[in-house]
Amino acid sequence: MAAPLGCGYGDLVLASSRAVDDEEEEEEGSQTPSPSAVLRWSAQAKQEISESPNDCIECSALIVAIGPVATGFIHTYLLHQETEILGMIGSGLSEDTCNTFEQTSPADATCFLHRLKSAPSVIFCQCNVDVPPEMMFSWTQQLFSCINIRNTYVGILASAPVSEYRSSISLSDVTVPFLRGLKTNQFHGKPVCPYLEQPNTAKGLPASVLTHCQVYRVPAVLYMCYSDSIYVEIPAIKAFLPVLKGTPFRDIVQENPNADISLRKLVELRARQNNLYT
Amino acid sequence: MFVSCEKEPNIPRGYTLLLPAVSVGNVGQLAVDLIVHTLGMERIGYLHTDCLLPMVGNNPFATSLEDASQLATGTEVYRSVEKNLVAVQQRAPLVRGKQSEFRRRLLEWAKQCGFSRVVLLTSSHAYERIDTQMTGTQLRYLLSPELEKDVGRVAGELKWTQLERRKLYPGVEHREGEEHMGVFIPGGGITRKFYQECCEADFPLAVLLTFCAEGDNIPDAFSLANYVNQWLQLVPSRKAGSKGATPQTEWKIPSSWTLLFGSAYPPDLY
Repeated sequence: MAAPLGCGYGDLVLASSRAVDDEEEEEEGSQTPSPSAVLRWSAQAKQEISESPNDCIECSALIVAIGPVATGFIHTYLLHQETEILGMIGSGLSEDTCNTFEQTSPADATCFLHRLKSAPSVIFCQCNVDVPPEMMFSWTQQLFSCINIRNTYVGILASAPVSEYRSSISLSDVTVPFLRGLKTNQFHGKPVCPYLEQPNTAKGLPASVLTHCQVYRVPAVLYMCYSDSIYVEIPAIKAFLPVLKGTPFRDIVQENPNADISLRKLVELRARQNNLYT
Repeated sequence: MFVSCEKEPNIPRGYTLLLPAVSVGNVGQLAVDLIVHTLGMERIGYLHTDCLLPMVGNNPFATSLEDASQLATGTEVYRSVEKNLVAVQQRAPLVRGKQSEFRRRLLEWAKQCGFSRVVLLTSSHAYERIDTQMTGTQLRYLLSPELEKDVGRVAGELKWTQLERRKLYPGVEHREGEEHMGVFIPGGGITRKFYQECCEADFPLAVLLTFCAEGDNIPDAFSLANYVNQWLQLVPSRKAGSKGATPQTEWKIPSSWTLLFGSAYPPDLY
């Protein structure tokens, strides 16, 4: 029987190698400078920085949420109170990059810094942008550039697919979604969930922020939510709920009686964007 | 690039620097894992740079529940005062386009610290071997001119094989006096260019290499670690059973070497 058109039987598949190819580096002198992330402060924040004695915004807690699940959680359970936008971090110009302070829908590809009016020393970074790997270092440098982190706790929330999680227990025996935590040596408490076990690692922007905190001795904790859905779903967002009992969240949380309504609206908004044909 | 985690940074001059290259099978990195864990080397700092991709995890060298929660970053620096050794462990790849910048900074840092020599552990694609490399030992060494005199003698005593030079442009005729043989290390990551830059800078570099293919590279890591150990005598080794074989060493396997090929399969699959 003739093989159907497009059948790949017998196709040569090259095994992927972890090796770095010697020749993938460009010639010396022809390399263009790599782009850097840029932090833009609002007019009010600029004034505050210029008036402060050390050219910094005072901060007792910095919460960094990366990705739609984490930002959805912060938006629902912490940013339902009155907030102001302090600034934004830009990392490239693509069709859906936001470069204004007006685009405030929680489903937009934005990266804003917010502050609670009731607790002005708490800053939230809501990152819904896919930051390219070559910009992650500069993005992190920009984030910490004008924030006084001397007495600051940093909390980082992010999510990852459960297919990346390695375990000696079969994943069919594990309840998904679940949380795992990592902390810097300066963070003297314990995460509110189990530690991320070896040989699992965190990478990308959450790793970049946590590395910065570890290297510069800032108390920080990272919570990773492993879920089995590629879409934003309520169980994955609610998986972060235990973190509200831990440092640095427990001192700033206020109950949101409309949390479930807010979550449903957020998931519906995201679902409209998850159309295969858009 | 180097950020110390000690109150007073202390890298005495004259130490040996052990570096892995991100290369085929990650053999250099696995070998450094064995050396750092077996010697119980203490972490003294980080290589914090925009040339490396970020990565964090819990302590890959954990020996108890207490130290299991110590955070490890993508590229860390360890020291053994007893062995006059500093080792770098790189767990994350380089950012695309930043390889030459990373090599430059690495060489600059090595010079600033006053290391007496740098030992680069790496590997090369087995499928690119020439006929003479297909049989016999798969281990090779390469020395920069600064190390040729002293370490070359030791390599001769140990009956090591130097990496064969290859024609730069096979099939092309060269004029007399023209350089036509060169170092060829496919799959070796930064190795070839770092070697050339160290030669140009008169910097003492030794490259220790093994030929291998992607797969279960743990035996290659042991082989390369034993090769280093023959020269540097870091860990006591017992004599090999057969003549000409590499002496065997009791290496300690780190806890991060579990589930190297992914999670257990789901039993309900069958």
